[in-house]
Amino acid sequence: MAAVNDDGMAMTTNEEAAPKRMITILSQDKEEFVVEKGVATMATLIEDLLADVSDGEDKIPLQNVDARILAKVIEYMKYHFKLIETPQPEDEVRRWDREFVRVDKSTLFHLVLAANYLNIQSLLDLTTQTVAELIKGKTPEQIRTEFGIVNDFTPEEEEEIRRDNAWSEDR
Amino acid sequence: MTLLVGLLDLPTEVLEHILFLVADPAALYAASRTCKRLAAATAASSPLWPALLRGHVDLTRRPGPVTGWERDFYCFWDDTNGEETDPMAFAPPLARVRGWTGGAVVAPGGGGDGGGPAAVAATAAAGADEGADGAAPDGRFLYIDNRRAAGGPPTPPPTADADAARSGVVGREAKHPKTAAAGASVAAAAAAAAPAEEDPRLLYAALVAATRAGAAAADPRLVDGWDGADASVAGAAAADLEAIATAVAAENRIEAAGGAAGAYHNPITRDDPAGTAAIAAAKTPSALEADVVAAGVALLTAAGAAPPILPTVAAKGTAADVRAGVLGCAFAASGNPGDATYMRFTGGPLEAFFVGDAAQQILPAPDLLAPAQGVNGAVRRLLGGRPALVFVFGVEAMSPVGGVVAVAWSPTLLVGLLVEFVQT
Repeated sequence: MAAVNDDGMAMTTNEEAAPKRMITILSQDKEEFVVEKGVATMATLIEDLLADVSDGEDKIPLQNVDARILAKVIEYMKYHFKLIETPQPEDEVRRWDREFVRVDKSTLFHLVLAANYLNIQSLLDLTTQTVAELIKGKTPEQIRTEFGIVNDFTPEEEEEIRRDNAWSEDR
Repeated sequence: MTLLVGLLDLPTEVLEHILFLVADPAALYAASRTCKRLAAATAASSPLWPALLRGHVDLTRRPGPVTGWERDFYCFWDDTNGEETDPMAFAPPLARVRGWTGGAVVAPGGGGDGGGPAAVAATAAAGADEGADGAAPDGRFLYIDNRRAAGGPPTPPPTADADAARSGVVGREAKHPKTAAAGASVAAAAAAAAPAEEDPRLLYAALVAATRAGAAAADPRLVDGWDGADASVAGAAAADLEAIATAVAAENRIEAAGGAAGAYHNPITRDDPAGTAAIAAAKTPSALEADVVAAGVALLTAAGAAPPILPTVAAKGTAADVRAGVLGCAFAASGNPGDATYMRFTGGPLEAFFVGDAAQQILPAPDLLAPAQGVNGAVRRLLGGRPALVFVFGVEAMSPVGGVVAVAWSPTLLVGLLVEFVQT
């Protein structure tokens, strides 16, 4: 059976063998990452930027993501882009995602910021859900410890918030 | 070199998105107590709450009757169940809804007051993804939005800020299927968005608690065992409850307006010490109780109870008002045939409603004790220290007998857990 293109037309041998368009992404610290266009455009920001640049110009500079984080983000995009062609069992994907976010907290927050900046909704969901899980089931003090938060309440403010608990289950 | 970044370095909309995913009221309350930034993000005015109500609460009416009451039973006050051909006396304003879909609905297990978690249902978030019935629990809920009828503000339209908290990015359309599906599946839940002058946190927490309690109470074994013999909802305390109710109703001359209360109950008089105490208690409602009274009036109104419904019909009910060892409650009737009655409980005495002397008659099987304790724990958390209403649809010979443990969120908007005992 012949392969078909996006328009439903049978593709020629040349079309099938056409090289994939590569995009160069420039990190904040000027490191270049060459990735397949399909991978890069998983980030809506890059997709939008590509639509704006002139033909033949395939270098996308990113102002807010450095090389270390961008490498991680590209790792994520490559894996999930490949799933489109080669689907994996859901459990396997979940396991990979879990491993992917098994990073130190600062890296995790950088990934959150990068996902938000690049507009990669699935990565934003994954990373923010990971942070949310770290909050659940903890006392205020445990949350502070987990995230290195300093208690900046005055005793009066703390008491006021404690009193304002009619909405919570912790009555 | 990558700079260190912490939770509080995240933009506000991202922080709110994380809190949206936390979803659990207790965890959100804990977060609110950590620092000023998280306190602000969880304040009543935060767009987080409208987002939570829209994104994690599904009040879409489920198919089928809530209890069977609407279909098979008829409410009369003459100790009969009526015939199936009789017209229905009233239709309880109940909607069977999914409720909270923000996480695993976990009910307390057999650990006494419900400390040990025991999953009773799959995560409803998964169901929200599919927009289908799925395995998500259908809690038994009362949900009445009577704000419009009360001249309150109309349901506010979704705001950009609220949607942003759900999608995570201000001004950006949610494109991820999960987020989009959640938004679509809760269209009907938009009605749950609280008006500005009311605290949306309490409504959200009430919906979560009601969902959990509903899931815990969904075990059919809990009600199938009741034989209906010599027991109303309150079991052995029934006589006391009726006496108190009659005393209050008589004081307010409700029976004169409708005529039925006195016919059903055996009035006690001012000369009766117990009646005098009950009447005195009824006349001195606490500030907290005023909300409950208002909610009860709204509830009865929404239930179709004909006027007059007097705010003073709500008796002050505590264990001390009745007598030690029985349910701490009082109830009142509007006095009209077919109308609902409601009782007022407080958290502590309500335990006996499910696990206590009375409940022992209802739940004789030892293997039912753990799930009953689960319900007990869930309801206790539902109430906390607040008073709540039990809206009773029937007593004595009625079958099923049931009610709603309603959280009095506002005078015009109620959320509650439906409790039903089916005579077997």
